[in-house]
Amino acid sequence: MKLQQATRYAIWAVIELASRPTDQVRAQELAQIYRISQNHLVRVLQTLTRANIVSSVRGPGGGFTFCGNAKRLTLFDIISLFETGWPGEVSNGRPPGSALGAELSRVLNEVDRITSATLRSVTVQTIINNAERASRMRDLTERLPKAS
Amino acid sequence: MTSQRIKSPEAERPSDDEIVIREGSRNDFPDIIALDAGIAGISRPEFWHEFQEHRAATNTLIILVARRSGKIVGYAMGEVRAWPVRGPACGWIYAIGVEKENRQRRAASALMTELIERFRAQGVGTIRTMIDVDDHLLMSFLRSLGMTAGPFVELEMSIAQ
Repeated sequence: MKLQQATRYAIWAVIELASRPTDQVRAQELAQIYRISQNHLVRVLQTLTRANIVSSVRGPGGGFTFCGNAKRLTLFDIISLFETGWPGEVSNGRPPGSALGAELSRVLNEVDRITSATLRSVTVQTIINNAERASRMRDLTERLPKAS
Repeated sequence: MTSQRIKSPEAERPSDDEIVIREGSRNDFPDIIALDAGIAGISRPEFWHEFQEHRAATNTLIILVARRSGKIVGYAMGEVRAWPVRGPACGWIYAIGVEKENRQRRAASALMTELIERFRAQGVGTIRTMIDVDDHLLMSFLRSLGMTAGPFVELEMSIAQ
């Protein structure tokens, strides 16, 4: 699945902010963490602010804070803000009445249905929890004595 | 028989308000079937009777119920199976459900925790399930526990004539 740059920036920003819910994080810091364009990121953060997913405080000491519900907000919710016409336009371009076109459309719809279900069922909190779980497992594995 | 008590998140509820996880008995089946019909929106007693017979014949099926104030408000069912053939046996979750009015009380999490413990006790290292691709709520719950897509995909074909 190919996502636009703005969509990827939005997902990264939301997950980073949601994993530090008490922090005010400046756009500059977020841009440095993910090595992305600050100007582009600011536009993305403005969209997220309008959607009430993040809030911003201007001035020195200000920054962006996650203000959504991490247990309810899904990847699909974030992606929908930036990707238009997805999913649901896969049948465009097929010859009308063509059996081959209809079959191809069915296959592409199958892919979209699975993709949509995955994105609708993965919440921001799930990503954070799974990352923490994986990190704990890694730490545990590293502490285990190595077989000689 | 083990049981697990889950205190409600709200402080100092009376103890009969707690969710208690216990082994399901034969007598619990009518309540489970009725609860499942309410959750699934479709009555499927044959599905449950088949499992009831399977349990009586093999004794491998794990059936757990979540009770609150004595009433069954949730259920989970699973079994250790060496299926699909590839790979070692794993713990299959056949069904899990909690009454709508009793959600947000961690009953489903408690059922899953107990089920996973039972599977672990039988020596398996992986759990699996198969769910409706459009059941985003259940999928979201299972993913929140750390479950992800596995190496198998379900395929089907109509053979009706």
